[in-house]
Amino acid sequence: MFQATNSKNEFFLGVIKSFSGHILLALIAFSLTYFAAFKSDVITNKDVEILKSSVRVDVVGMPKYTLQELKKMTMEDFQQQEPTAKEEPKEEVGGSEKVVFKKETKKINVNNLLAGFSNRKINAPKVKKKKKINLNHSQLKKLVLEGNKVATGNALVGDGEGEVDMGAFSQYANNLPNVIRPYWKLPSYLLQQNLKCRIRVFISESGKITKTQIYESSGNPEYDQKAMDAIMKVGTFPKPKSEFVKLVANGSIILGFPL
Amino acid sequence: MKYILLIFLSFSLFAQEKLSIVAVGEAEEEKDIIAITTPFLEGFKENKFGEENAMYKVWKNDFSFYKHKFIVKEVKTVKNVYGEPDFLNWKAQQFRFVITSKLVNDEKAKVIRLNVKVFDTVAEKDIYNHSDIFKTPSTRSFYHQLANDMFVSITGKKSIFTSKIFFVSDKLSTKRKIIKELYMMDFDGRNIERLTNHRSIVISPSVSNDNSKVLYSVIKIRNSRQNVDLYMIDVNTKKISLISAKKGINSGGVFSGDDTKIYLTLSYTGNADIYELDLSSGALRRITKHFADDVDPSITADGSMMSMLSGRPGKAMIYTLDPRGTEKSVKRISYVGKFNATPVYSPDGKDIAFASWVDNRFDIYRIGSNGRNLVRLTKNFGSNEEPSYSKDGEFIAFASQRVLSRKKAIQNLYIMTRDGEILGNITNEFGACTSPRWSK
Repeated sequence: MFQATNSKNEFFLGVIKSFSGHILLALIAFSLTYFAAFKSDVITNKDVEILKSSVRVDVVGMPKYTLQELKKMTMEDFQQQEPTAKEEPKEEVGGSEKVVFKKETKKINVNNLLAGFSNRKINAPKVKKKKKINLNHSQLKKLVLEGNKVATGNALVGDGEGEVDMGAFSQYANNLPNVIRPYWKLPSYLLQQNLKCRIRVFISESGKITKTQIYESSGNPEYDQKAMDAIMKVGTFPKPKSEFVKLVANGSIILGFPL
Repeated sequence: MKYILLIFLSFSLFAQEKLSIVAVGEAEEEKDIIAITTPFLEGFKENKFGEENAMYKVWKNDFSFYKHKFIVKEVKTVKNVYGEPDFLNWKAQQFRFVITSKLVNDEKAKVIRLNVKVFDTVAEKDIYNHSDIFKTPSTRSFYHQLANDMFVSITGKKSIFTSKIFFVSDKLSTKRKIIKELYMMDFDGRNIERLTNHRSIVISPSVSNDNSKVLYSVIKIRNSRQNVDLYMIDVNTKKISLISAKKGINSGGVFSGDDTKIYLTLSYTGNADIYELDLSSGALRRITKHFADDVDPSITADGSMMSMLSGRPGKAMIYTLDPRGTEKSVKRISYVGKFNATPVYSPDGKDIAFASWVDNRFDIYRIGSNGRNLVRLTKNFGSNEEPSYSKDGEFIAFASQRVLSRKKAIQNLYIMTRDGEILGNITNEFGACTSPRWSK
């Protein structure tokens, strides 16, 4: 009886200990979550990387477009300038109507001669296909004379730094300035002060801005507000792909005005 | 096990998502709105004067040249608010600067007093307050001077409003003889004044840095042989001196930064090369020494760099060199273009504007003095040549020819911004106008 009572007490003690332990762990977990959420607002430099995007302009002739025309162009306009592939003429099927009798000629080579003497299948040797250069003289001349071709490069002029991460997320992030830039304007008195600020953006899966946060203030509220206004004037940003929609929604992108 | 799992969970909470910074880049300048109120009149009969409109028009026109920087708005003045700034109302209309003026007819002193103010709506104070006697009839140069002073108070920099443009025109040509003389006019094309009377062909003018002298060449016939002589005219006294009359070409002269020397093309050796000529001593020093022709020198303000046109590579290409030596630090800048001409440095020495033959006409281009950043400035706008920068580097004057028929073509002078935004012509029906040179 005493033994049974002892076992019961031990059992209850065990339950209490286990319960307390679980409560303690839950409290620790809760406090760590709270602490992590707080800490996420205090980001250290090691958690931040700067994405660089660069454009290299190759000039192989006198520029075709004036500076004013280039300023009005968009990336889509440049992409439309790419020469379209020449359509290959369709092969005639069924033979020509003009031909009454077509003499078939076989190529005379060793394989054909030997084929008659053996039942073994002889595979024709593989001939490497020579790559045809399709550019004719006028196309080549046009290519040489054409200037202002924009190609994504991997080095800034005068910088020569680093390789660009061309992952999908990086590409998405690097495209955001193109969308914002038309709205990023400053009056002369602010422009002359060489200020800079950084705004953290939270973008939903539909491309809407759900939240903005001043990550680094310029010290001038008007400058910061101008940067915020530029972001809000965009309205709807490009929709993020599903593979990084959470990253973007959680504010992984910081926009630097100007850097 | 549970404890281990819980510990792992808690560690995962520490995991930070990496943030990425993307540069949006430099902002575009938002154009400030400058509101110019119509002049306020006091003490005039029936509140009418007449000359205030001319002054107002000049100011409006002057500031409109800077339309790439400002939006100019005309505002009708309200009678009783002169001198009392209405910052609240002005800010509501997004005016950045407001220009007000008042003319008072002082009958006792028999003078008309003028007061001009410029208000800064951000600083909420006046940044320019000037009183003067308004002479009648007043002159455009007086209005331009006031506009320039207002511009300086707004931007801190001098404008082009008081500048002059020198140019060549064949206005006096007849059917029998082509005559091209040197002229001077206000930057807006007004007040054209003829400076020379050679009854010959004047080419290649160049202005000194103090704007008091102009170099130019004249095509002369001497001993039944054509020669191109170099002259200099004093703009104020109109006195003309012969600078160089060596055999062949004496042309394309430009002044050094301190106006004590000139750099010009001479061909008396049988080949066109660039020389330095000391104006006081007459000492001649050779700058280029190459069997190809070297012409069209242009020099930076500090005299450390010179651009020129050279036929060294077989075609006329742009080169830079150090004019302090002979064939010193010669560097080719342009590698494209069938024929390039008249390279000129921008006032800050960072860019070179030039004309290039493309698509059967000349067009104007701009390239960095290091040979990078080649951009096109004109297109589908006739044949455009001889660019000349304004002193502040914001504008380029150039000559543009339009062919109307096989026998007729018109050539006028135009002004565009340094980025190729064409503002309009400044000459009209004044013969074929070429070789614009902006004063310094």
